[in-house]
Amino acid sequence: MNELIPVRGAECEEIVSNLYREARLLDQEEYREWLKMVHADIQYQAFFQQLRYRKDKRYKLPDKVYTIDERHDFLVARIRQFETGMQWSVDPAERIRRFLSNVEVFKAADTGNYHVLLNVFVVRNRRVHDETTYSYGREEEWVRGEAGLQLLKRVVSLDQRFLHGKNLNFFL
Amino acid sequence: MSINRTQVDVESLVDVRNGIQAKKIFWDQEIYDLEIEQIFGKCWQFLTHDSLIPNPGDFTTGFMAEDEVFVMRQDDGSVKAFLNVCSHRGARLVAAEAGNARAFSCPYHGWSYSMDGALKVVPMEKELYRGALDKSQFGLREIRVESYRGLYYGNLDPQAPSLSDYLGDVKFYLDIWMEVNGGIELVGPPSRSLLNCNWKTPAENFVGDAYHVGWTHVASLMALGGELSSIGGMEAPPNEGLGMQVTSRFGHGFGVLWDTAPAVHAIGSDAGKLYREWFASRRPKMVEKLGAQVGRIYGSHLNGTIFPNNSYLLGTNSFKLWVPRGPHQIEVFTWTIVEKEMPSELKNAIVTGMNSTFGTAGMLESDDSDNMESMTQNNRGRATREGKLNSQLGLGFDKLDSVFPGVIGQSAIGETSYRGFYRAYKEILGADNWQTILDLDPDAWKRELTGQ
Repeated sequence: MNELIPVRGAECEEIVSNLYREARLLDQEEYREWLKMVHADIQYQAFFQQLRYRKDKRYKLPDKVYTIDERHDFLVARIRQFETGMQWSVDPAERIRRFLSNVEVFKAADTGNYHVLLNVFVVRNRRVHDETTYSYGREEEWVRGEAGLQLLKRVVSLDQRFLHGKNLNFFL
Repeated sequence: MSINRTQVDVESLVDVRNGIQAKKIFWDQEIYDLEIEQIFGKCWQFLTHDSLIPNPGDFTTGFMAEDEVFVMRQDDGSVKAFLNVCSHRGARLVAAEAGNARAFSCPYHGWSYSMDGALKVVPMEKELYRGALDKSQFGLREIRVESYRGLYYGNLDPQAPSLSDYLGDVKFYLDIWMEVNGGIELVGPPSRSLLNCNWKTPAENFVGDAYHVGWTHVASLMALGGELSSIGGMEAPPNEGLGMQVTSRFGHGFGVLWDTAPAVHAIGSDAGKLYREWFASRRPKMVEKLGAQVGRIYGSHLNGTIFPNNSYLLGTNSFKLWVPRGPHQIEVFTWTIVEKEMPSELKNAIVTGMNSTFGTAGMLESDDSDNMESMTQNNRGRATREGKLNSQLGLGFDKLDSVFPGVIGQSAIGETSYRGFYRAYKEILGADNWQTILDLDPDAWKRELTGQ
């Protein structure tokens, strides 16, 4: 059993400021710098959940749709699309701000990896009139190595069943 | 008699011979209201697939245009669909999107319906209604349902032709991908998202727009590096041999890009690798069954729409429903198509790859959304919406073919299927009933499109 121990004080502060730094790099489109914070074995997922009756145990099909289930190579491809200079949808640039809150940090007794739970609120402005917001939860795992703290796994739980923000073509 | 018909001059909306449509078809409320009545009231609309309701009592909920519906597998294996509305005071009956049930109770007063839509239980019926309620008259409104290759469609018009007749010429092609290959499944649950566009902007794009691929998606194609990266930026204009376009009597159409089925599944990804191996092993069998010319459809990429609002990408394996929410907004439902006979490892990889490209976070799907929205929202401007839309690409070169049914555009890039979509749009929008349409010369539509 992988015991998770709550992390407090300076160690917790380090993890939280690491999350803030990651959010800032993404807000500022510093994708290659951000990529240095991403582990080569990254598992990057986001899911919507279908609405089911609480007591319904007879319907056996999965209730989650993983709208993102990607590894390092595809995250790099997503960055490359922006680097072509021909991604019309972000030219002029869109502006995204990520607000992080309710951060809880745990350390795994066996691996020493940090397990983090947090809430995220995103405000995305594109074109002149198009402002959309997103609220979601993240469960993630950070590993400390020679490259510093790196993101090993991120699972994004999307609260909206019907995504109002057009698409999720940005890093969550 | 609707008041709409006196307000909308249907004839003026589409010029079939010249490949022109009025811009206001993306904007005007009166046109939208007429579409809801004449198109969505008469045409077959996608509901669900066998794979999503495998057992008796399994159900899914959804939409036929703005009407909420649910679809349920019955004990005898058949499938019924109903308006998702209590016949008492009109509250929504089923709140879950999918599940298994033997009966549904309305959350308002508890009226309960059995799987076949009959009203069975009315709370305190004896004490309150004292025998005066005829329950047999207040079952759920049932909707006509028919299936094609496991796909269920509903129709609000009892006079409509069968689903099979409605699909017409495109069955020849869909069968290659949905039957001869061993059949398909849809993988759910669907993603659901909102676009502030008219329902026809994505429907027409999917029905036959290979033109935008190399431009709109240039960044994504360059980043992914598949078979289509060469047309990114339009640097190497595809010639006649690269594909073809097909349209049919009731507006269903598609475009083919030869030999590029897995093109948007990144070559380095699991889906890209496994899928290319799959086609390499399966296509020779299809060619054996169907001959080289027809068998080539399998393993080629198809982008299509089943009129009015159900689109698909065979190869990418995206299956879409564009549900109208007024003239300027849609809800997008996205499922993944997999072949029944694929190993589960490949099915899973395709679900992942489809989502990465044409899901709600998909790179290529996102490329399109600005265009869909601005094509709609620009018509807020009066001068703009008085203008015309052009779908003349390839006009004058559409032909009939001895092997391939339908009207054929013989190049990869063209607007043949746009013209076929809007030809049918005008005909169905302007007809009071199906009989009027079915009484027409069954080959007249071909002459209209080919100019013969």
